[in-house]
Amino acid sequence: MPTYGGDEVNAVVLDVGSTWTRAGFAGEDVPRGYFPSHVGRVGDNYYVGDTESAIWRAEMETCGVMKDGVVQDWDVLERLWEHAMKRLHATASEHPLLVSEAAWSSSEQRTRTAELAFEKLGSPAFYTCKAPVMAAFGTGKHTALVLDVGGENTSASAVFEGFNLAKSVCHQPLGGEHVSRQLLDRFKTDYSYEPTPLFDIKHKAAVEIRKPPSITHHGRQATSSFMADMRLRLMLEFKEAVCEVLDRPMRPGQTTSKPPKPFEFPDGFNVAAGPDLRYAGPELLFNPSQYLTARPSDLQDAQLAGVHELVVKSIMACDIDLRPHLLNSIVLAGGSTLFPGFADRLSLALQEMCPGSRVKLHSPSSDMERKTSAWLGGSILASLGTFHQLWISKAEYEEHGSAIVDKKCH
Amino acid sequence: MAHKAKTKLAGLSREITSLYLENQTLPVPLDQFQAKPKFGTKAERWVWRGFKSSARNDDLVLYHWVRANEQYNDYFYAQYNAHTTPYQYTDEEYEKCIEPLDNEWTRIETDYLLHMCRQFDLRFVVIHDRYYLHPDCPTSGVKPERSLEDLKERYYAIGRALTQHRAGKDSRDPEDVPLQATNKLADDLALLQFDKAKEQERKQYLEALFKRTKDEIEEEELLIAEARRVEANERRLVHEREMLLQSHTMFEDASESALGPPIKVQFAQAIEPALASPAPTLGAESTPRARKGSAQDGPGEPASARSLKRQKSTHGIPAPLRIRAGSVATKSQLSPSTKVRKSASPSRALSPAIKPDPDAIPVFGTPTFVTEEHTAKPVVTEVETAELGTIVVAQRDARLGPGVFLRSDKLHPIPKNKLDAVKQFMSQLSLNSPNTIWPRPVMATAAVCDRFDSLQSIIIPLLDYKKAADKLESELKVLRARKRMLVDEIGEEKAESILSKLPPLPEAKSSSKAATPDTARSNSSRHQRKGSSASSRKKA
Repeated sequence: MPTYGGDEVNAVVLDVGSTWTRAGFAGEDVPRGYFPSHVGRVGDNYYVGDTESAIWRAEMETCGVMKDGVVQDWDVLERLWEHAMKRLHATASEHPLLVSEAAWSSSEQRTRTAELAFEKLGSPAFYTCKAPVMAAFGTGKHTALVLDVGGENTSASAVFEGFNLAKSVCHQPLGGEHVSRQLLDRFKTDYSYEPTPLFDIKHKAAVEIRKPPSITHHGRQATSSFMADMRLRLMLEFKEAVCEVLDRPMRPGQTTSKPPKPFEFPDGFNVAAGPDLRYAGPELLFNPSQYLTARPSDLQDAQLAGVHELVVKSIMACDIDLRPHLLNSIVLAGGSTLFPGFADRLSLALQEMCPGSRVKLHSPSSDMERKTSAWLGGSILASLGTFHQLWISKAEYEEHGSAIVDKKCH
Repeated sequence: MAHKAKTKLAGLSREITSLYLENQTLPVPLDQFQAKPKFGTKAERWVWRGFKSSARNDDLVLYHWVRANEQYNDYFYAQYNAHTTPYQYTDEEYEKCIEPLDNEWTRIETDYLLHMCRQFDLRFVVIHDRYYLHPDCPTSGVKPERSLEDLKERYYAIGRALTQHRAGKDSRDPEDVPLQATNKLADDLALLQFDKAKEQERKQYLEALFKRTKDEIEEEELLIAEARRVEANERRLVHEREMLLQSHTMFEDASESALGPPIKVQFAQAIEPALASPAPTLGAESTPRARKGSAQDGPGEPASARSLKRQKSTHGIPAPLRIRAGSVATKSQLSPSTKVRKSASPSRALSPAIKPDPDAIPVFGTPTFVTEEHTAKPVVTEVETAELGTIVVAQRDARLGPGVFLRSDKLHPIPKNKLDAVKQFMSQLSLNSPNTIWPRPVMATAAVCDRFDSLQSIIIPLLDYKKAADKLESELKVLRARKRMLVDEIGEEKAESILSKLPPLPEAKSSSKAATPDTARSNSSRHQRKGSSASSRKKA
């Protein structure tokens, strides 16, 4: 028998986030499927996956699956699961299924998820695990404070010996997409520019810096949701290439010694991104009250806090004996923590807020691992020999009903 | 040289050669690593096989790859399905010992608590976190806002009650229960101790520690650094003092030898009466006084001058330095202090008494350790002079020699052979001495020196007592064994008859008499206890 504690039973691990879905076999180190959670929809037809959801179709609406980190549209979720299985070339009825869920998901959510797994997919065994727990496992820790900055949500919650502490969960609907939207707004107001996605560019010509693009359009009419989604993807590229977090809180109108960074959009528009574009965007994650200029309607009256405040709030909700351990193992997860300088800034801010404690951040160094750390933890978990006694089998589900999910998954 | 060594020596085995030639590598067996795979062996068959685990309650079949020829009775990882076993009680036990514990807790809630303990393997952090959120949480009978300490306290109270109850039910006679069992019960109960108030207090302190501001922490660090500095200074000071003392001692030795016989004679004179017996010490003290008196009787001028000279030589105090007492000390004033001074040092009188005949029971002087009398009164001597009348001069310890000296030098020296024992004893009393060679008080004021001296003078006879007692005891043991042997040899009755004919032993009486009266008078309880125990042992 193997001595490393692993035993593969070919389980499938699914981690559906608000913007990206990760799917793969347990025991592997990267998910085989990594595709947007936003799906295209024309009538009853769903278009899922990287290319399918990005192909222009007249009348195609783009819809998301989550709201506030919990599943909103169960049809979309089902499509996403099906697509994942297709990507893995797997038959759902042959593989145990491990899915992630938000730390604050309700009992109703998980019972519905179990229902979907057993009744629609026909999985032989199922388990649902809190995303922070999985992220902590993915970083090799059983006790940690997990800060997950995703596309639409930011959450901080404590994990103690593999158990997510419910009272420590702090989350707010603010994430990477808000940074993107704010940058789009800034381009619109400061540069009177709105990027044109690739599907509508027939021909482009080079233009001077900051000059409006010279393109000929296909004249394809797209729905506003599809257009917005495509623009967000453009901004994702912009963010990855240009944006950074300053190591100190940013002051309005601050200039830095760093040179501006040039960036060219697919439509030819190019700009040398100065502090207003480079630093002000991600700064809203740390200082939303000041830097979130154009609040979306659903965040109009929300009390928003910086990520470091969220972390401290979560830690303060824990027992005093636990706090030093948590501060000593803060795990970063989610794509929006990948802004250069994010970890340093967070570490500094936490050091200032908890001056007497040792603060240590743990984060996977590779980008892919950080984006998929929850999935990775799930992959580790589901390939453990000792984990196989925890699966909810189909027989158990049929015997006890969906209530068994609450009983067995904690 | 190296080149020469490399030449191979004939007739030596390789291992010895390599030992002989240090720089050569020693042969180390390597693992049999094969870079090439073995060909020609048959590949092992692996199969995708279903398995069931005994750790599961159902018959879920999962599949994994295993060697085709291997068979398992149970799933390998089922053995790791470990659980803690929290306390469980029967209805009867609950009614009998748990219900009266705390009426704040209902049976429903207690059951629920133990259920949670089982489910989360006593991770109280998690139990507390999920206490009201768990799907099994009863809808009624659960008191809201239980703190972590509440839950822990209840659990451990249950544990204690059950352990006690179950141990109490032990049908064996308590006398028969082996000692280990009772110890085990005590250990178990000790492990289940939980002090809620203390725990809360501890957490409050931790909370305060956690909430310190940056300024507070900086201030604290500053203070710690300051404290370190002060401590280092102190260490330096002690070190310097020791160096000074050492250099001074050297100087003293030299001066003593240089001064020669006259001082030595004086020294001997001062010591001699003390050596003889403690009783005549007062008599010894009176000798110089008598001389003074005789000097007064004779022709005034030269006699007084002679006496002055004599005092001068004795104490080494030059005339201008002599202290002139405003009011002449009367004899009654003087005598207690002199008495204390003398009697406080029975050690010197004692040690020689023991040494020549260790078999004899040590006879001690009267150890009067009246602490109130250990005041800073200097030991004085009256000096009669023609011009100035009677002068009171602080008496100088003869062995100090002339010149400046430290007050701690005046302490009675500890015999070299007892030095270690005394030092150890003092460290047991947590009396730290800055001097590692010779115990000395840290702050040598007159009062402290006096008490230090008296302490030394208690310790030394105490150690002697102990030594003597130990010796007697071992002797007694040998004699008993011998007696038993003899009795066995000649038979019980005959021995009885011989013994009855013997006259009663007078020694035992006298020995107990000798030791007890002296010690009974002692004011030092420690001394007394030790002395009486020694004597009682002798009686036994």
